Amino acid sequence: MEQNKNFEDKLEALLQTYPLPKIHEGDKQETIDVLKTYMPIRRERTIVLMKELIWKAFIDLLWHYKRQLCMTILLMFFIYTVLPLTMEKWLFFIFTSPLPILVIGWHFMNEQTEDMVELECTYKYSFQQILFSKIVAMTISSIVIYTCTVFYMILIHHVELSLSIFRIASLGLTPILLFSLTLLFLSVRYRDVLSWTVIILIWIFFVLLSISTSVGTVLLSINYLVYFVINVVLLALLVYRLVRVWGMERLPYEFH
Amino acid sequence: MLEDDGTLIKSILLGDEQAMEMLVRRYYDEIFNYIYRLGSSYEEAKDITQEVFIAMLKALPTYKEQGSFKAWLFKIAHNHTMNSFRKNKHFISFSIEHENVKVGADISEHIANQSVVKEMLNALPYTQKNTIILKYIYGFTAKEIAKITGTPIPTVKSRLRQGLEKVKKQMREGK
Repeated sequence: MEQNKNFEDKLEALLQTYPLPKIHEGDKQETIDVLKTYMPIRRERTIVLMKELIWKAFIDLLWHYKRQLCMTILLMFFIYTVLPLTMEKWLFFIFTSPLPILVIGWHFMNEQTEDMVELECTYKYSFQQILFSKIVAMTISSIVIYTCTVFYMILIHHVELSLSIFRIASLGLTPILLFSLTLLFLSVRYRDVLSWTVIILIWIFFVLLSISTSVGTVLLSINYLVYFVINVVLLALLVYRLVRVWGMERLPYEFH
Repeated sequence: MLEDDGTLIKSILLGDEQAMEMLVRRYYDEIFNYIYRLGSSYEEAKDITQEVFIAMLKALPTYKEQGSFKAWLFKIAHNHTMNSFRKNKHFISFSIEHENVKVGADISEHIANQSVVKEMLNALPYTQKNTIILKYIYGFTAKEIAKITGTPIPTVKSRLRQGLEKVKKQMREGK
């Protein structure tokens, strides 16, 4: 055994002395140059591309809808300041959380004309990637605005932070995520401004119904953990749908 | 920064030329020397090495990170060398020359000029020589050699044993 090991070591050392020619640097470079013609087309890493597109969508969103956004935010803060702190106000506050996404969504759907889609199809990025980034930017913007309003409410009404923040956050997030998912679905399937108008009308009807009847009280009495679970499910669905949209090869909808 | 093969492969698939250059430079010498050791001339080894890397680049999208990338690359190198030898009748003439030890005058003169180790390896049949090179120069396991050469593990072990016996005999005679 020992003898074999010694022999193998000796052989290994001997084989390393095998005379080899000096490889010319030019030959290596030639191979590399040839290989460059076989390289796959340069693509950015998905995460880098997603970040870049979402950032662009944010800038576009703030610039393009600055008037609508400013008016919506001012209106929201005005109502929250003026109205006295009652249960109706809390309900109203929660129901107005998706207001930015409803307003921007309406304009967004309104701009999804045939010409616009054709134009976006000629962009460097695919139509699906642009849609993905817009929806993500809209959802995050709505969540950020809502978070600001929550803190504002807590500040002006001196509500105990630890008790209310999680409850209010959970309740207000539900409609935001729900409308983001709906907007994504409608953008892929129908892309018709009328469908979004119907959604807004249904929401207004639901808000009025909740405030004027006991529906609102029932909604508020449900444990906030239920809303938390619903939010997790909605978020998972939204992420799943967004990933699917990103991965789509072709235009998901064809104009007739 | 030294990036591992897996990271470089992912970057190459995204079209990163620098990653490709890094990977080629990492393995060029080993692949070239392997092909040269199998009995190619410098020019042949250069051409086959280039073919190996082109084949690697074409096959990269189907590469699955199971086992080492080096072994996968050597498998391509082995297949291309075999094809080239078959095409140029190189392998057959080499085997006849060395297995039957009926060396022609010009070739005998050529071999006489080589170092002992080269002579010793060239005296072995191609399959045994290849197995010994892969095991003792490149440090591949029997399982990896089996994958590279496309032969069952017992065959690899048998070739290794037979090759070593012959080398031992030659070394004894050399003394």
